[in-house]
Amino acid sequence: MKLKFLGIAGLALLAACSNTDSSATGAGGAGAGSGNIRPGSQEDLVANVGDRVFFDYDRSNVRADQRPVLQRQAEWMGRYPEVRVQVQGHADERGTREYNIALSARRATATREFLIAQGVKGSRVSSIAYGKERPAALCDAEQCWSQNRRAVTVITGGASGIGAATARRFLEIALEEGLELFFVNLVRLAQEKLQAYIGERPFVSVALTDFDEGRCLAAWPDREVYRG
Amino acid sequence: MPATFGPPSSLVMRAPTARPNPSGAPRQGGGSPTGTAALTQGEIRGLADQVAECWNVDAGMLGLQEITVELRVQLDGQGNVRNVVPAGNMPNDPRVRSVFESARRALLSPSCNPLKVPADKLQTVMASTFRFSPRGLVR
Amino acid sequence: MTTRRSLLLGAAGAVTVSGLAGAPDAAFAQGAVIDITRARTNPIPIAIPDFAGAGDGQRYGRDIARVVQDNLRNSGLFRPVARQAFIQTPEAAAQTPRFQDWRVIGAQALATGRADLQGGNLRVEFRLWDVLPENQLQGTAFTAPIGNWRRIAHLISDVIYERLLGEKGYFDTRVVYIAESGPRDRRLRRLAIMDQDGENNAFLTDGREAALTPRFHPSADRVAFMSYQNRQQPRVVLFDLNTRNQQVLGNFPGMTLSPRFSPDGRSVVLSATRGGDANIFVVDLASRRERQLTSGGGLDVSPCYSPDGTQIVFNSDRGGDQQLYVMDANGGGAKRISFGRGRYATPVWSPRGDLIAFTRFGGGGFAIGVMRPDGSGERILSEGWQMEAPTFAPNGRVLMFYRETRATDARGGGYSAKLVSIDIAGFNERPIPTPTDATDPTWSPLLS
Repeated sequence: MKLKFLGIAGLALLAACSNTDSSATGAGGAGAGSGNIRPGSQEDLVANVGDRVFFDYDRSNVRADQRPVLQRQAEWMGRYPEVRVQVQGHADERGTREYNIALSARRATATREFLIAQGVKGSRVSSIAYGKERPAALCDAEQCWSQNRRAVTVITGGASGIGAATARRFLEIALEEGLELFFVNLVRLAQEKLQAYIGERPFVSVALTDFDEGRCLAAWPDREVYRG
Repeated sequence: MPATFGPPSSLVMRAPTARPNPSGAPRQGGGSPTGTAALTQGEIRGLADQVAECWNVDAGMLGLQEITVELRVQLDGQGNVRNVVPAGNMPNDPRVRSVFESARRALLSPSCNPLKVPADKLQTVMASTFRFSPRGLVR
Repeated sequence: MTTRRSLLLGAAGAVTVSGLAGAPDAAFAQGAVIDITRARTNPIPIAIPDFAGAGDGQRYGRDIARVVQDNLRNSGLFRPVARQAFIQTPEAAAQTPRFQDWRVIGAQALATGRADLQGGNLRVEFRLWDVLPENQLQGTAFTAPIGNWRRIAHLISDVIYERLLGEKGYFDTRVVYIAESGPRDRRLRRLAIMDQDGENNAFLTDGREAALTPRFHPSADRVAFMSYQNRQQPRVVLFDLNTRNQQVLGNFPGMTLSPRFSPDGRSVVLSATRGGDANIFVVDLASRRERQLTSGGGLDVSPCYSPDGTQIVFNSDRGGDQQLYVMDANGGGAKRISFGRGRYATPVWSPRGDLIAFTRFGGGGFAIGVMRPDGSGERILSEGWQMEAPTFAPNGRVLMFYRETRATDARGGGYSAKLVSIDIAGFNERPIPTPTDATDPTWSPLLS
């Protein structure tokens, strides 16, 4: 969907699409403390689904009482098909470093395989093992050890539930439905103001950004044209 | 590469293990045929106990339990050890040599001299063999 | 050393000979055998006066003698005689020892030397003396750039150790370990290196990618360790200590961990995961070909070659819980060797071949111990709350491991992890100083 305006050359000032620092999410961010949890985010997973399952000492099989959590995770991932996750396996400190890494890997694998058996595509689930190196609870008793024998599901991509394809489609629809003139005027006005300010005519685009990841999902005009 | 070298020339001329009588005067005594009487079992045990007090070994040495070294002594008239020699050849193996040298140090130790030898049995002791084997180790 | 026979000849015909009992009748004495079968294990008292030197050489002579003294004392097998007791001066002793002066203060061994500056180099010569028989045992000279003076001290320490104890020393060695800092749930873990006495500490990685379980190559120029790269699966990497370059080892689909080099330095044995299992593989460093040594549904980790390269000891839960197994280096015939109370892990085979060291745990505590390669003769050397990961000094006489101290508050305050060394006979446990918390030590071979 290239437009005549793509002929504009100049500095590739990639506005919101250049923002890779997730700390710049600012007001648009995680909404912690605001009581406003974005669906399809890590907070949503933690608060409404359950992000972790627990294991018995020295065991790596998914316990029967833990299966409901994973079933809910699988169903949740079905609702947000853009989301990709990593299952992180852990062990408690009552053991040695190398073996516990292998044991925690087995826990992560068992959890991942359970999710796949529930219908989640394997390419959406990676796994990693941390052994006993990242305890969640630090006391020297079973109440902490049991919390550390865990597999935690962590979002690694697509947290907003909106991916690049969806965002581009959204922009296409918006342009077709009459926003094109609005966007063109917005971009032109911004370019004029910025040129007066910095002395050069920059490239300006309107972008749809996933603030959790700090990632630009789609932009108009398509910044790909100006790369290089 | 490190270079090795022998003793400084100031020491080469000295007999390395012989030491003159510290009082400077030659001693008589013990040189008679009566120094050849046999040692009793009690005297043998007494000598062994005395020397064992001065013998220190390295408990972690590999194969220590299998090593035995045999030494002989030369004594002066008071039973002080003046020289120590191997009963056979000088050991070549580094560990055996180390045990030999620890046994030699025990026999030459000031804390174990003079040896508990009756004056009439000095010859016998010099004809005897001190057999060191750390089988019953570590106290 | 003169022989008894020549002394007899010298004495023949004389009534008395300078204090020696008359010899001629000795041939008729009935010699007995005096059996000494008990011994003490006290350290050898050794006097190490400052090495003599002119100008700046004197300073190095003093520093080198101090390092030699510390090394020998720290081994637990030598007891340096206090300097205040010395009668003869270092300069005079370096010329010709008056053995009486050293004998009378209790020294049984004596090390003297001199240090001289020659341009940018330091030349150090030293002699080792057996005080009681009044012998020179050893005379050696070393030359090195001035900046390497510590290495000269370590080399001299090894010469003394070897000449008096009959076994190779371990002082001219380095230790690579994991330097840890920060809160326990967000630890920074960096690769670090130091001399075996804690000096010359340096950090080798910056910790952005966590490093764990390093192991030295037999040539001491590289290590292999586990690296958490880019938040992906941890993998075994090779790290060149000179260039600081690192590369992933092998082409495994899953995670790789617990690497160890073969004694000939040509391969790396490690554990690799696939699905939920972990099996032992060997990677040839030249061809990078991989060979699988174990299979089956257990977790097989922490492999370690015997010093002759014919066997591998490893940690497996194939029998139900973590135990030690020994198999052929080509993967056949695994046999369990640990049968004590508890679980066993982190096996390492002594370079002397006579022992396997391990971590044992269970019942609320951890311990470091040794056993013979057939599993017999198990001995515990040290116990505590949490400790792990023994590594042998190259002469097989000393173990280094790490010991954790329990936190004293709920936020983890008071927790620490430190390196400790201990003699394999079970004595002389001592802390090794590091600038941060430290875990996972690996001891290099002798550098020379």
